[in-house]
Amino acid sequence: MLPKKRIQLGAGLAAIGLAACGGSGTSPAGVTTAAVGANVLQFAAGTANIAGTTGLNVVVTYRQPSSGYKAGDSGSLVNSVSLTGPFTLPATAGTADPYYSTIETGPGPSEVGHSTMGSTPQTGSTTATTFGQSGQASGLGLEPYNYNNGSVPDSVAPYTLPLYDTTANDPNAFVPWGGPPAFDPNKDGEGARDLYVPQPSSGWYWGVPVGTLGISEGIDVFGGITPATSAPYTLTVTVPGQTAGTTTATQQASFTLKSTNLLGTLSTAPTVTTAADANGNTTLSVTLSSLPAGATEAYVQIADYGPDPTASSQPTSCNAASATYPAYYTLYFKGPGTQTVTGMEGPRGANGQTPSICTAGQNTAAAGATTDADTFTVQELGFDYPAYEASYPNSLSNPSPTILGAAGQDDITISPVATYAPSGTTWAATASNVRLLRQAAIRRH
Amino acid sequence: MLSSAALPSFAAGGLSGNLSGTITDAATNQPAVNATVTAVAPTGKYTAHTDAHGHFSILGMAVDTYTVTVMIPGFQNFELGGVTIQGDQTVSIGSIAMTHTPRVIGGVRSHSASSVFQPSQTTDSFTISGERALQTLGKSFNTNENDLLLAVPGVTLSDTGTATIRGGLTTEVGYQLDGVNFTEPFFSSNASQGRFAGLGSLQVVEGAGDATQGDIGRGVINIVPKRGTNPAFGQIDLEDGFPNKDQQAGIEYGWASKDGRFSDYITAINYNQSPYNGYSNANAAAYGNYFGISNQLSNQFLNNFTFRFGKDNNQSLQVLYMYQNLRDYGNYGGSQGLSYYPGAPYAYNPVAGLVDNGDGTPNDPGYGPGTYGRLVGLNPDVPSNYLAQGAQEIAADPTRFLKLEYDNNLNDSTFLRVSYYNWETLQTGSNDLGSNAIASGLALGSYPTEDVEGGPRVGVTADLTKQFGEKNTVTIATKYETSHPIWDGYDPNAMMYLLGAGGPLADAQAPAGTPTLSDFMPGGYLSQYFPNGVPQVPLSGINYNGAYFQEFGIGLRWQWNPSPKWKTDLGVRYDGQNQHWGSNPFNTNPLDVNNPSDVNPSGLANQYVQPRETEPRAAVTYLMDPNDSLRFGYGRSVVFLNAQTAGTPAGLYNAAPFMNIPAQQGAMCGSGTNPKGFYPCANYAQELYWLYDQNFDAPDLGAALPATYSNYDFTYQHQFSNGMALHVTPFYALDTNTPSFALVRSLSTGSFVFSVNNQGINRTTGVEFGLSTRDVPVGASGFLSATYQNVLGSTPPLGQDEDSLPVNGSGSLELGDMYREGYVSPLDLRIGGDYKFKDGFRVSPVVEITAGYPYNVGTMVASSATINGQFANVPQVNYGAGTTQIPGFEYSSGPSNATQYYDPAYAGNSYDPNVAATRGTPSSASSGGQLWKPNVELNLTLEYKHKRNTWGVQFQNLFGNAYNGAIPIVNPYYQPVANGLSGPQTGVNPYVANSPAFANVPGDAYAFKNGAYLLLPLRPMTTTVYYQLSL
Repeated sequence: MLPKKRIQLGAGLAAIGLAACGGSGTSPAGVTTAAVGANVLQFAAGTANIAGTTGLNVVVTYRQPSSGYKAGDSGSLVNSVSLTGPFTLPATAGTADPYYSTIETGPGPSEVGHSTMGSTPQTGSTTATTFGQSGQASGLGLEPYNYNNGSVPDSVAPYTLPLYDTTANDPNAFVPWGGPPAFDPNKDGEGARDLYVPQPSSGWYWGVPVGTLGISEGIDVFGGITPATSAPYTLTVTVPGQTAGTTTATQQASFTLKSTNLLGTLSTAPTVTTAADANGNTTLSVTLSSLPAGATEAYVQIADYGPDPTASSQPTSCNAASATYPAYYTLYFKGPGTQTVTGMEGPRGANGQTPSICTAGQNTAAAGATTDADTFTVQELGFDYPAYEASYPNSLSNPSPTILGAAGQDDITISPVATYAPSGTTWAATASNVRLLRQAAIRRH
Repeated sequence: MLSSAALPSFAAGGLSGNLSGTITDAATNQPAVNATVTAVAPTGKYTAHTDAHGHFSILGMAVDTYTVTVMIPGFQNFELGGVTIQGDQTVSIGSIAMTHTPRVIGGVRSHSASSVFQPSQTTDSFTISGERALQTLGKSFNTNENDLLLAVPGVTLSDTGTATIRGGLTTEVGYQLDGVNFTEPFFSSNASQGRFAGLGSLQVVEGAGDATQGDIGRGVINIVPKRGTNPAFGQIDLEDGFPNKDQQAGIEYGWASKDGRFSDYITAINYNQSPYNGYSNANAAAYGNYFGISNQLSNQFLNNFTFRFGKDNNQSLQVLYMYQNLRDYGNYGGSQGLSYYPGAPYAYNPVAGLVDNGDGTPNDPGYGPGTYGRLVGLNPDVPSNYLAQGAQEIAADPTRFLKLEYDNNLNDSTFLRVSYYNWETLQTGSNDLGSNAIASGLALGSYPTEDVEGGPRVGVTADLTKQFGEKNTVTIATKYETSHPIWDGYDPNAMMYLLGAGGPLADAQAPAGTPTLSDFMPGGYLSQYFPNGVPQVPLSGINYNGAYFQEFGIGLRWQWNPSPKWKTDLGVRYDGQNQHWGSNPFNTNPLDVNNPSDVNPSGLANQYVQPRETEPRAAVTYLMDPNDSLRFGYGRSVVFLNAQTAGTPAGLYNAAPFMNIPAQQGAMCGSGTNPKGFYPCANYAQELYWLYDQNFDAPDLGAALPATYSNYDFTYQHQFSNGMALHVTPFYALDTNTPSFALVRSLSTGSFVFSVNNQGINRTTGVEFGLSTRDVPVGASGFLSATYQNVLGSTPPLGQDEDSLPVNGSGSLELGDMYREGYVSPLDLRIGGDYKFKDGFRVSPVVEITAGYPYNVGTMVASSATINGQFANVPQVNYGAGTTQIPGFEYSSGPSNATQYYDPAYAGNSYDPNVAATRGTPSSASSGGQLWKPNVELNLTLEYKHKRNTWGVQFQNLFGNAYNGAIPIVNPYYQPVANGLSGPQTGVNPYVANSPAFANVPGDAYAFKNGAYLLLPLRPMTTTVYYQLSL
């Protein structure tokens, strides 16, 4: 045991205030710096068909070069981006989040009617912009991953899509988390959430930064922006310097659309077939008879929200999925066929791997009270470019994965969301549930 | 046969030694019976007579350099100079063949006490005195103990500037003053607080030593004061320094009567200085040095009196008294935005609203203006208005010391020494100052506290030494002492916080029966009992409630010298401790009569509170030839827990008015850690006490055993023909059961509660290396002291207080992880010496070099939480919960201290994080694989002596690098861009940037503001001019 006094002294900050100091001729030894200017910026654009509505798809990779500290990883943990192009930003400004970013709901107030999506400097400015202080060009996508003074990212959750979404409680909004079986770094059938680590108080924590529910798919689709071929789109990435107001590196990439044609419209979500495996766990199968018109590959996104996700006090799920912490599954299609989420691909719990989708019996056992089966949603995305190949971890260590499709641009098509609620001993598709989606969307680090 | 004027004791720590030899008639080769042997040194004269075998011995001689004279009527007197008596050692002058005509006797070389060639030593020990002390200190009246200690191979300084021996913790050093325990009872620190007065000699025993020494881990440091001599000596010292104020005045005088019966030494030293904090002539605020020490005043006084009596002065009585007081004055760097408690001027209070933590919120957490308003009038230490801080006294560290010693040469071969000591040292003052509060954003854990720590130690030692013939000497050493560890301290804010001032038990959240701030408000629960107004809220804190620790030991030492070439030193010790804990006045649980009362009763088992240890010691020395010797030693030793490591009893001050107030209905008191459980509170004071105990305080007592140490060393010594000497000692030490502190829980306040356990391990291998020259009256002489040490332990580098209070994660201990300890540099080198000119000039340079301190923990650290049910070593990264955050410098967790950063686009997982950026330092995969920059410091003294007058100037840190010895700390505001490149907000410390105190900061103060690490500048070059007058 020891007195609290010493602990207070040892809390680590006692000396900090004594040390904001320096001296000529003396510097901490061995500090190395990166040639940030050598980072590899790739930028492409394309059309987005959002269940019949046109939007702009943007694909970005900003990665460390082969000579970098970690080739293929994000080029910088802090940067500011701006995107210009042949568009006029929507007339209604979005609502700023805590990082002064309006991207999920519209442009920044000062950007309305202009053709530049901007950022807010990380030096204390509170001006709301599309990307705010948090938005960055990351290793994959434009995402709110900028590191802050706490030495953590502002968020580890990708933006909720579509961006610039003016539809209140958009039933088709979704968070592009990739899960097993397509996104399963360890190939153990558990996706990214394959470590069980009890948090200091309670709850589950899967050995990943808090808020991480899968692998970020790096998809950026702007609603309300009409693609155009009349002029190039230009992405500028600025890596700030060591002192406020200075710049370490600025890189720019431009891209001109070849066509504004859309991929085929996905007017409905694909059908999910549930079945019980030999162990009584539920499997989820999806059959695509064809890829969307013009697409070369597709994802089917399944999100498990646990039982009764709209309840004010949600019951416990056997796999810990909830409206706040959905469990994500992704099926990858390179062509027509059937893909399946097997019965035990849920996050790892205290007793090991968990069911992918929990039945009423499994949830009742977990909760200790009569509980419904889980509710889940389904959605399909089609691409005419190698979205999956360019994603992590498939392109890990690759500074410049191929991001362009055969058509010379990056088009995407997105279906509406279908919600599968328990119906007897199985599930039936219903109207999508807005509330739980938005809860998921606001998850932040 | 022996009769001696022995006055010194045979004390642990090497206060005295023995001299022996054999006298023969050269003509007949027969023993010379009843020859008179006299040993004379300034500190005393000893006389002995040979027995029927021609053998003589003198026991209990003061450590000094003697001239030995042998006289037989009708024979030519024989005289041998330069015979140095080392502490705890028997020096033999061999066989002396007496003739009727003068002749030169060979076979015995003289060695000064400070020579590293001491071939008869059985333990690895060093003595620094006289010329050698002057060379490492630069000048007389330099009272800096560290300057002295660094001349000893094996002694280095930790990252906090505290002495360590062979890489052990600073708490594993045993301190002695004139041979008796001088280790501060609470922290096991040096009660001298790094200053000495009246240095006679420094003795350092490394390793376990012989069987007369107990309660040490890696070694003993003993400061032996001067004694009066005949002829008398004295000196006056006057000093002034710059650029900062550095004034000193001192005087000493020593005398002895011609017959040797009376002697006395007295000295007094006062200094007045402004400590160096960063560059000279710079705004202290530039370095964030708010509320630092603006001035220090020190008074030191020492008197060493000896009275010898009895036949041939065979008995003596010594009275040694010392007093010192170091007082600190505050306000260095300013006090913007702070006030102090009028009732407690040591404690400074960051009053809300005046200091913004810079997080952009209008009210800083837990201490907004509303909170402050509620505190006024309720807390006796919260001022009713804002008061500006001044340069008032903020700390006082008084120490008083008394030792009475009685020595008696009972007969020719028996020596008795009995010592009684009674001393007390206290450190009083404010624990936390405002700079801390600013840097931490006014986290509650940084709030100021007041405390008094230290305590008295009273003991008796009795040593009996008996010599059996020429070859055997047996010593029985006993010790009994009682220490009364003191930590009486309180935190003016903790109770207020718990009662609801923004705390976790704010009124709205408090369950029924929980005391809250509303109870004190008009109409609240207490108002019915205090119609004239509710008294102020009691103060919570720490109180040892009169606890006292007894320690006792007995050692049996047998020195057997089978031949002139072989010496053995065998022995065994038995040491014990009884911890007597104070009664908890707030515990009336009928089912729990134990005190301390918030621990599991199993923690009160005898093995923990009444530990006993048996420790064998063995050493052997082989004199290869007069110039070469070998020795090997093994010793097991033990260090009992001090109060700090033993337990943390909670306290409640000013609680008397509430002792008679009925407890609220449903209020439960007691400890959840005690299976005897909770009980209905007996009164309201108990409610408050247990509220604090269960939410803020560490357990009163932990089931921890004393640490044990196994020391092995091997020494080769050589003396060159020119008088230079070489001493090389490879050593190995294995410490087990060392206290290590594991995190129990993190408090919402940002503070932590730890428990102690015995899972700590330390394995040190190293080599001591010493060179010394012969002392010469004119010309060059000097020394070289070097230590290489590879210290592996359970504590990751560089945790704060790592050198004394190691804190480890539970996972790290469970996994048995070993780290290269960061508190000691693996290589320390000190070269000192002087050149004395005939005309009185003396030039004395001292160079101190360290290789830097280990600072990285490696890329793998133990998880603080189980992963899949098991602790695991995982890569360190800036994850939140789940992995241990001991990323290099602090045990406190948090991504701000991380050295590696994950890629948010693809983070990986705890086992395999995708690290996209680092702090930019060349990170080593193994712990301690990186060293901070080497430190080189040069001190230079120029002195001229003419008759009784000495003029001198001493330059310290002549290279003028204010960062010499500075240890880097993490810049918590470091924000990586990638691969170590700093980011836009790096170093823009909001608490600094937003503070008006930094308005005039010089440019270079921000030199590292963007860096991954920060350095605390220590001191610039300083100059001291002095004048000394010999009396």
